[in-house]
Amino acid sequence: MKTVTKTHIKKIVPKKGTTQSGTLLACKPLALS
Amino acid sequence: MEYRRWNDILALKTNDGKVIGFHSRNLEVAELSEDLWNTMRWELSRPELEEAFDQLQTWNREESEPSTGSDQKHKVRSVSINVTQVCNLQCVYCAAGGDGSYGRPEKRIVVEKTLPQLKILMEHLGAGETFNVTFIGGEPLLYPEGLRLICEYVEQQASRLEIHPKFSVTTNGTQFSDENIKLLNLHRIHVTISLDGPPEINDQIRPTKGNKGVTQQIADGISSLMKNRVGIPSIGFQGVYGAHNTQAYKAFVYFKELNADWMDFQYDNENNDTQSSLNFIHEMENVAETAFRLNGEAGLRKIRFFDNIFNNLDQQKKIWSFCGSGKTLAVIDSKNNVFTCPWAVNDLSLKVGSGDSFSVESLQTLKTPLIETNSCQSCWAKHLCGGGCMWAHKKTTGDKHSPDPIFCNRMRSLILSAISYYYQARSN
Repeated sequence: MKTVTKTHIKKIVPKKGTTQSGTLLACKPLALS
Repeated sequence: MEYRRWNDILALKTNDGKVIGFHSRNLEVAELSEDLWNTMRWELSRPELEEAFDQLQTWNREESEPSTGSDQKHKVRSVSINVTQVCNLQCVYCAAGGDGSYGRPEKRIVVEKTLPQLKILMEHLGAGETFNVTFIGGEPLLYPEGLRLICEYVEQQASRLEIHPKFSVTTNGTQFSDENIKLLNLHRIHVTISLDGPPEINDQIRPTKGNKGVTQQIADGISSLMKNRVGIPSIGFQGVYGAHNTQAYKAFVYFKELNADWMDFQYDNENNDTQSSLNFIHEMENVAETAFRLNGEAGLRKIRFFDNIFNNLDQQKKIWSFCGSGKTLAVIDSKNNVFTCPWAVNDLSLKVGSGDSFSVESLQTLKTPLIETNSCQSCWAKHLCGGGCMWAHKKTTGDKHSPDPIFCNRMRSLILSAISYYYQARSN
């Protein structure tokens, strides 16, 4: 078993509870008006 | 900004020397060491990098919780209705034939034919689900009676079926009379105002049919809308950019003055000019830099694109399809023809039905995720993009499933920028 001497990856903790204010899946019609 | 890629890990080095990592399958963002950055180029050619390389391999192999996205059963839950083809403006880039009419004689929808169409769509949904109705045009607020009748009907049916209606309108902003504001409040209609920038720009691009600038009149209307807003859930601005105009930064400054809830900078899907696309990317980088510098994450997230990416990174929600076309979306034109994409309404050969003689199934033309159909598997940005706009692809490559490289370059550049701001916002 190798001993880890240094952490090379520090993950960002996501804010999972964030309110969803939009989604790329929504219809995105360009402004036709 | 320099970047490197090793399998599903993308790393970007910012101008101040920070290394940001992005796991393109799991949608994770991380700070990486300089050793790891180096090992992405040299792998094990230097023994002192072995530990960093081990960690890189381990991270690359990790699988987040299985996503339900790709095999989720899609339902048609959104409809865009072209309530009227009449428009009082004549925008230089208008997708509807220059005057909102597509060159066809019919002026507005026949509501008596629309309501049974909506019934078909709504009865397909289950209790507790949301039904999204978006009014487009022409200028939809030139036919407020049509909006009122449709909203009342949808609300009544929604109550019977125990589903939630959500209304939106895309308007040119010239029709905010007291009566129309009352209508928007009463039915809680989300408002998107098409506006491309301050008067000196917008007046040139979006004049009236008599070539008169109306931006100041629009700003006055917006002021009245904001003042009398009691039920309208959101008010936002959407500008369209392309070879005719790439000045998104000036628009951003103007939108901020007008105090919108959100703003959106769309690139014209029918424009495939390389230099204009590059100029637009540059403008958007300036927009993002200013928004973040002045107001941090909240300021940046007023811009819809960045808000969406932040949201997807926070939820680690993979996007499998760029839009709802062929899966979750119906589009009804002013002659009550039914399509799967708002861009397709100019081409009657693409209609999937008319009146109430269409099935919900006929709208579901795409059975697989767009990132698979469009062969995006090897792209690191696929789960934040979703395969791109089929209409833009078709315009450039002649095949809606063969990605437009100009679109892809623009999307990847803006996603890189968003990941970099996400890191900055969350690492402190």
